[in-house]
Amino acid sequence: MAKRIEDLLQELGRRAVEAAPPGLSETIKHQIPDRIMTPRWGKDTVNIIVHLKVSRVAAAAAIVISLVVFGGVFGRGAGWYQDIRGMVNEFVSREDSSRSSLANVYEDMASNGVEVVYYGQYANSQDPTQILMHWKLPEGDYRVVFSNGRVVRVSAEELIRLQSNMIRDWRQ
Amino acid sequence: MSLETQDSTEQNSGLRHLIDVQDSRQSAAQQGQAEWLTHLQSGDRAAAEKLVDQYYQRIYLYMRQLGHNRQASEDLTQEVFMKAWYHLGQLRNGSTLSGWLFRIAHNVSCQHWRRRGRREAAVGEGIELRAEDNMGQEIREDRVAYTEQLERLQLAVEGLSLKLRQTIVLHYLQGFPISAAARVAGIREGTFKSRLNQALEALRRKTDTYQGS
Repeated sequence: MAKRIEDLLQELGRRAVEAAPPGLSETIKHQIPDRIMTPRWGKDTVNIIVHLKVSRVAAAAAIVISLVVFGGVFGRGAGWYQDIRGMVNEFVSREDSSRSSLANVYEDMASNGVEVVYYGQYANSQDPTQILMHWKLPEGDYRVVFSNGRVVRVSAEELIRLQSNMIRDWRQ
Repeated sequence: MSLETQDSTEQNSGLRHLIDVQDSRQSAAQQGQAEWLTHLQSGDRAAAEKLVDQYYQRIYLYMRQLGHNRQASEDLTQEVFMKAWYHLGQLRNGSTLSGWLFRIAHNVSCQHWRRRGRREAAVGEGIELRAEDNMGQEIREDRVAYTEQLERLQLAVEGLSLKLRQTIVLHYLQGFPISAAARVAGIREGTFKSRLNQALEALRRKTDTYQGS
């Protein structure tokens, strides 16, 4: 009887014909991003450790040690941060050259996979509430650089509020 | 050399040739998939579109077989591919594209059930079954009975718990071998086999009940 049911199930699989709604494949193709994600070292490390079923504390320790020993990630992150602080100060005093330098930092961060947004072309350096640049931190919060050089760390909700204020100012 | 020995030698060489042909086809397919994967991971849009063309229909059907209604299946199929673009970096050479994509689909489906419960189950939206073509008059009546039997079995599958249903869908309806199906479901092979046996036993009981009624 079990064999009979197995045969019937296989036949059921062969006969199931329901077609997807028309246009679904085109919709999915439109959603293909311009930049498909390429392998990322940090994420792969996490996956390997998860696959090995190591405890979370051990996994966290292994990731931190790996980043410090092999990646130099903290050094690089601090480097960006210092670069940006210096350039923002320059941006406030001497606009044109520092704007292009900041744009270069943006390019550098973006090409390294950091989720960064740069408003340099639109931000008004005289208005301290204008966001110059923001990027996502590994913990999920955002680092925001204002046009007066102030650098703050905010949550996603706070960032949305700041962006809304900025867009409202642009409209006025 | 006797005639019998000569026949056996010819059969062996024929068999060897068949195995060689099969091996070379398999290796060409693996090489093709490896190249495809390389193109995908380098951000080649054409390779991504090929992935959509090849799998969107199967993923949609998988969602329907897992009990999602048509609208939800459409949305979830889109979600599967969105996640696929994001997680493409985690796909390794040697792992199959279909196994990887179905693993994402499995997770997306589970998340959906967790978020929404089974309120949106496809009640009254059974999957259509294709009728057999080119039947002779003498076997047509048998075929009608056979189709009814299939429909009863489909109802029984729909009545299974989610975990048991997943095993039936992956192994029998989608045709994954047990080891690959277990990987898609994210469980050990032994656990998968045990669930499969439970599911078959439940189906046997249910179809007995239908036949009795």
